[in-house]
Amino acid sequence: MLKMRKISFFKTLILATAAAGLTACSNDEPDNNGGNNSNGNPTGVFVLNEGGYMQSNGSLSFYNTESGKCENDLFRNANGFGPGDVVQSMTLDPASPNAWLVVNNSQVIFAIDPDTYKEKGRITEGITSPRQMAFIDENKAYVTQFYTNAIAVVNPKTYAVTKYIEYPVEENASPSTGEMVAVDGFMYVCCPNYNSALLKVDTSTDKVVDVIYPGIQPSHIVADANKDLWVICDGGYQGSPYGFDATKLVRISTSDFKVKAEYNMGLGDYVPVLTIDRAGRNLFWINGGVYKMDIAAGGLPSAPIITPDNAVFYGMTVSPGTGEILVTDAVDFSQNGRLLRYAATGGDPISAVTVGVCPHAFCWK
Amino acid sequence: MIKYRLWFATAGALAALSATAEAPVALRGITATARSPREIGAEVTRIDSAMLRTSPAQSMADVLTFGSSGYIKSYGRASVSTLTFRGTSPSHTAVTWNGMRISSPMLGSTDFSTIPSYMIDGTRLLHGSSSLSETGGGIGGLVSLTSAAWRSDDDRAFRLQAVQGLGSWSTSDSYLMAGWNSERVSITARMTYARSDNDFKYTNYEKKENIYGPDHEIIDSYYPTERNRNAAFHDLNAMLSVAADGGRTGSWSLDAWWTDSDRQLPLMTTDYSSSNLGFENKQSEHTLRAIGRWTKSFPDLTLRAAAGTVISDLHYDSSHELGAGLTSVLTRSITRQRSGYVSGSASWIPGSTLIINADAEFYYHHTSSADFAPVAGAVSYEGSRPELGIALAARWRPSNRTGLGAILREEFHGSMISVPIPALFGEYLIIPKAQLLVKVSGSRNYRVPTLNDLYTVPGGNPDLRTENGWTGDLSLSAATPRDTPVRISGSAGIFGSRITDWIQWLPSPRGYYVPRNVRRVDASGFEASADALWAHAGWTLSLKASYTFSRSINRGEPLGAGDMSVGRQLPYVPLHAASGTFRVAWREWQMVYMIQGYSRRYALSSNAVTPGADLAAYSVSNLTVERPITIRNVTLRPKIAVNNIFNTRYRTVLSRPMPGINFEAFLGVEF
Repeated sequence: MLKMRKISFFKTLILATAAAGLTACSNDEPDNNGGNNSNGNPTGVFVLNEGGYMQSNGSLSFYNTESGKCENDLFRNANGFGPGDVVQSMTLDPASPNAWLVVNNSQVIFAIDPDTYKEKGRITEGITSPRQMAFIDENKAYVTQFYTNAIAVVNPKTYAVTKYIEYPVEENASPSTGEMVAVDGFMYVCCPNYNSALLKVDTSTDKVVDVIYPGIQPSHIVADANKDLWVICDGGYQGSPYGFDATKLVRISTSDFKVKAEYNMGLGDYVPVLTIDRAGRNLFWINGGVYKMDIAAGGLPSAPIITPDNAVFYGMTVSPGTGEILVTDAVDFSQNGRLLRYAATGGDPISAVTVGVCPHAFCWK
Repeated sequence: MIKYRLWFATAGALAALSATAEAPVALRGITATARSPREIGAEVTRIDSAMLRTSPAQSMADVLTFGSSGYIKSYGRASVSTLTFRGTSPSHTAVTWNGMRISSPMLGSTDFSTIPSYMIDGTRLLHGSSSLSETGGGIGGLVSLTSAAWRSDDDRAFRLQAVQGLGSWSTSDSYLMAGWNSERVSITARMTYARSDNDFKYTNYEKKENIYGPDHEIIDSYYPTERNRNAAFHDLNAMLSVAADGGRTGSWSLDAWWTDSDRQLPLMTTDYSSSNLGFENKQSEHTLRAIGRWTKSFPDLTLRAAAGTVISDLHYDSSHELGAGLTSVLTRSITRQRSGYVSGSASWIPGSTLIINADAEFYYHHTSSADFAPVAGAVSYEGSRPELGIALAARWRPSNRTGLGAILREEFHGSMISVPIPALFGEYLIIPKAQLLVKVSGSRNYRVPTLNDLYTVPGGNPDLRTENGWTGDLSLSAATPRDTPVRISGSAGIFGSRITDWIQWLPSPRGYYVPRNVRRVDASGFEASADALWAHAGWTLSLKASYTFSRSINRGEPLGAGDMSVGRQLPYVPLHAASGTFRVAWREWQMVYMIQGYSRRYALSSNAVTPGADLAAYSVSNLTVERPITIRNVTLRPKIAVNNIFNTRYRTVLSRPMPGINFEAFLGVEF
């Protein structure tokens, strides 16, 4: 029984896939490395380097967690051109050996071989400012996008948009969708840009069936072992025409789609990442340092488990195998960043390697 | 005594002439003689009027690219083009038009692509400390632009000039000027109109097109030949200039300049958005700049006053059609600037060797910026700032060979008060026959944060401190005597500056950029320029060349263990910049060859060079050939221009293609 529940949770995670840019990758069994090592590629994690906005210097790195070595510029080296501007997220296709690389400002999604990194196809038509991709089944994936009230439904086999899921937008709010997570046949989608909506989409009908408004700018979302959703609402910014509120962590039940608890952080606190461990029991987020919180805890932790020590923490993931914490340091956002490796308990970094510019999202292989 | 008064008078007249010269005559750029008293010890580069009149297709960005050794960072024709001096940033370059600052108070920088060179009659570049003689805030230097009503240099009362150019990619450039003058009044109206599809072809090495097999497998790929998409533009500029000699009331002038620009913003080379669906990404600008000036001269005293305004509306719209009736609206923004300006100055010549100036200038800026796309009716920010600058300057020429100058400036920007800003200048004519002149200058300098730095939402940082620093120059210049068959002049010098609290916009984890006082920057280097002119038996050859070596090093504290930017060259600042113009004239024929080049520029603050962030060194050359034909009192000026004659593949900004070889033919008519 316990085993079945565990598998179910991981299937949830798979569908969630893109969910967080940090855990932006789906894998049915993350601990068996999910990969084909036929060409010698070892177990590890892809690091997605956004690159500078409008500079088109985004890139793809791979960090071998066993050897501790990192290879950079994989996409360019394999294909003879770079992935483009703002490499946003990456998702492994559970039905095929493809990894899907979403490049936001270039308005393209590349399918690549996760072993050779060679392009296998691309989606360019019918999408705008894509953010995340999540697979529903072998014939259907959702792509969230900014600046439009339409989630694109794509067929990964034909590399084409098949239809759109339109959603309501409040007056004086902006249409945009970002991170998403799937639980029991429903996709829960954040509207993170001048909006407060959290959408509930029936993945069998591709219709929005419910909407709640947990707070200003729901930006990050994960699902825990109890099938509760945890959402970071970033609260906007001072002077925002949409309002400015304290950043908060909101717990939402998927059974009735209602808020169960809210935990306020500071006004103006910025949380670029929210993720959860493999067991779905511990939340991790960055708010300057790295914070860890048991989902059963009644309040926010008072201190980080990792302090940045002058680094600019920008991305994070938790190893599904060892529980180690990988954090990216964006430095000044204008030079190559670093990937820092920490023990599951935090503390000082075990190692550091150089990655690309603005390293943010991860995808476990 | 008379000699010195004449010296001052001649120098002043030459300075005035350089500002109003209309005929395309190649002036000597660098000379040790007849220096304006305002320019004792100053490092000044003059752009000759021939360069300004190369073609109506030229913007001031092109002129400065080929006519100076500053660095123009250009996104292409009719796209943002900014100038940096001596390894500083674009906002460290002050820009004035007829004495009034026209740099954006929001951005601090000036887009030289919006200024057609045919609207400008005189251009001076005042390097480093020298800029303080005219205005504050130009840590790198000052570009002083002037426009004025046409004055006939013969008996003509009326002049009509028209130029029409037709070129590659459906480009059309038009210029029309009508001038009338009497003994006391001059009136000139002129306009330029430029339009182009600007959709040049280029091979895109940042993409590959795939060739698919029957099962959608990729069987081959290639770098596609693409067009510069969404790059069309229409730019209209019109200017009316009136000047009057009021006799005892002094001389008066009024210049009003209207800009109406509608520009698409080209897509990046990495943009994959569909060309089959509707798409909008454009900027339109409506700007009025106007200035009235008055000058009254007495035997020992000259009084000047000016009042002006800049009224500007800038619209930026961006949207995509997705198909299925869906549209994605990214931006609907409006930025408004309303600036008022008054200034006054007095120049007193109490003796034969001394001139004392007192200047005051006052600006009031009101700006607002709103983006209506994310949320209806949203106002991003609205800000106002009064700015007052006062300066006291003295120039003294104790001997024929020696000149000394001092300036003390004070600036008030809203509630920010600058520290007193001193500047000292000196020059000594070592060998009069060779006009070998040594010049030295040193000053404090500063720049207050722009309105965007302080207030833009999100990202504005009201806690920013003023940038400040010290600048010094030492140079030698020399020239052959005027009666030699080959006239050669040259100048070489070193400069150095240290700027603390350098403001830099850095991306923040929140996804937007935030300005911070993050760095101390040491900028130092070497500048050299040379002119040569030879005329014989109907032939005239002339050469102008300039070169700058500029080290601009981040000396700030590391931001963290991963910060590799300390001790490195600032991004987008080339170590080497050079330009040259070679003219050959034979009887009526004239050929002009222009070349400019930059060394590698780093896109990353760490100076790491990766294939995706490499701006390699390049040089680009242009060529024009012209042969005027005069029939009675009408002169026809057919001209052919070939740009990028070696079809160089280059880029000045990542992901922005630049055009290969292209052509334009012009026909000018002049009465």
